[in-house]
Amino acid sequence: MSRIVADLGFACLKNPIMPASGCFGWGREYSQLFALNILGAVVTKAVTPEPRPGNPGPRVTETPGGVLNAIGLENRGLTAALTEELPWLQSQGVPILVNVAGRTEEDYVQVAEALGDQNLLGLELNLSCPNVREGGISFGTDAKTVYKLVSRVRQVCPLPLVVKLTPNVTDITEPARGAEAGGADALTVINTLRGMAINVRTRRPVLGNVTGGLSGPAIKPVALSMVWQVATAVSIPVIGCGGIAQVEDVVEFLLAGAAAVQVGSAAFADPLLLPRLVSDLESWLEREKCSVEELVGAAHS
Amino acid sequence: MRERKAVLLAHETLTEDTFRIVLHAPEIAAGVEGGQFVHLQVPGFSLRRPFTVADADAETITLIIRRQGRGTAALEQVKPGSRLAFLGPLGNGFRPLPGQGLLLGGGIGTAALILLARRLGSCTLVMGGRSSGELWLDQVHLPPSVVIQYASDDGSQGFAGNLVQYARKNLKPGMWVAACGPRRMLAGLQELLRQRKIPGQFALEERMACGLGACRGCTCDTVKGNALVCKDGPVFAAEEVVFS
Repeated sequence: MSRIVADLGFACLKNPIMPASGCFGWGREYSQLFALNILGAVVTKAVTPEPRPGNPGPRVTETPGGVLNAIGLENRGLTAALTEELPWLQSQGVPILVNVAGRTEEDYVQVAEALGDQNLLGLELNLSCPNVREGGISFGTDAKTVYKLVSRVRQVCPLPLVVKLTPNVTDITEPARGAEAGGADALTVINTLRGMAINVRTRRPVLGNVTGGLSGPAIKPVALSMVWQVATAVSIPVIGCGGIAQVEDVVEFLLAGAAAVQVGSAAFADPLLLPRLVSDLESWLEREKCSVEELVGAAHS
Repeated sequence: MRERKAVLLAHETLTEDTFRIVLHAPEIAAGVEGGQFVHLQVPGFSLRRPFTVADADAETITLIIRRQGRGTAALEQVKPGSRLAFLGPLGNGFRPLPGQGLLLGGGIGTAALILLARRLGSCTLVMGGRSSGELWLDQVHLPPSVVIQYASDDGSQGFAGNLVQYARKNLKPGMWVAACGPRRMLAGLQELLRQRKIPGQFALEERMACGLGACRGCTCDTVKGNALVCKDGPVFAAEEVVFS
């Protein structure tokens, strides 16, 4: 088996590199720059039952070592996802994780049920968006709520379920255990950290939504420690996410216990970063004479 | 589309807070349209910065940039000879309409109109600002067929008043308007154009992350609902934009 194959338990990916939800749309734009099937998988923009217009602008700004965003889950809704976005992405020959979000538990159930018979790698349940008033993060902070939501989705959807967790909690292992008990097949650790920026000239918050989610190199140590904690607390695979910008970061997350990784805002600085990480990781593994499988969790022993 | 690298050839100060950089970008220079932009890497920063292509010749593109925050300040320090990665040209440029073009640039928004003026050949290009110290258009070389005018709020150069007041006085039937500037100016122009039944196009500015349409960071409100400044714009028909 190739050194770079990533084992998610419910599936093996040709490599452990995938984009983080929201940073990559449905891949159409980036497919102008590289073939999507170079990647281990593609994680889509969040899908909600109905179209959502998202938050007022400005929606993005840069802070030292990071990016603040408050998009607000703008998307064209389940019907457009099923009829326009998904058929195109399915023609690209890359495994797909569809990110699912909602205002209510019912919303998640509805989207998951509708996607259940699609040819997908799985669903990623977004229980962690910090930028919407209802739903999102409010589901992800309480272990019992996570358990209940994941169990309900589990009943209506045969696809593998990945649950994306928020770092905006006291102890991330609690919702992680809740998701595992509810039937999750893997966990994505972490979504963005809540943050804000103020324009001193206008004396107003920079973002239209006032607060946003912080991503980028600034949050990498936080994400890494949470991957480490969660990998110890659960027995399902963890997908590491948060501040990855170079191959050494990928290796760090693997060593901390991640079976695969997602890359988000660093691809804004370098739109070719994802394919480069695949080739850099190949070279790294070749040079070190080891495999992804051997690295996963190796720092724990 | 390809990721490209351009060598920064020259660097000039235009005013206290505005500078110009010239990039060697022969693959895109000849084909770029006025109003299109490049998404430019700023070394050491997490986000690229979108800049309108202010001018172009056979081999180079010129960006005119106002120092606004840490990113633009860092860009001002990039040394000639450095290579900067960029994506572009991105977005939709201006679509010239029949009739005499009146190009109205509020402050740094003027940068989005220079290449259009050059390609039109014959038109009127007006730069507006608070006072003469902010007006830098005299440092841009355009053919004599482009009539250059100024408007200043304090009357220190050219027309005394803002660009909406200028347009109210100078807009004639048969003209079309291309404009870029603060939202308040564009909102005022939109109302004037509606009253006079004169067609117009506005180039909008927004903070961007991907620059390609994937991240939905630069959404703006239009009569057709959400639109992306990067992909559906940055140039929109004047009547389409919803200013609120």
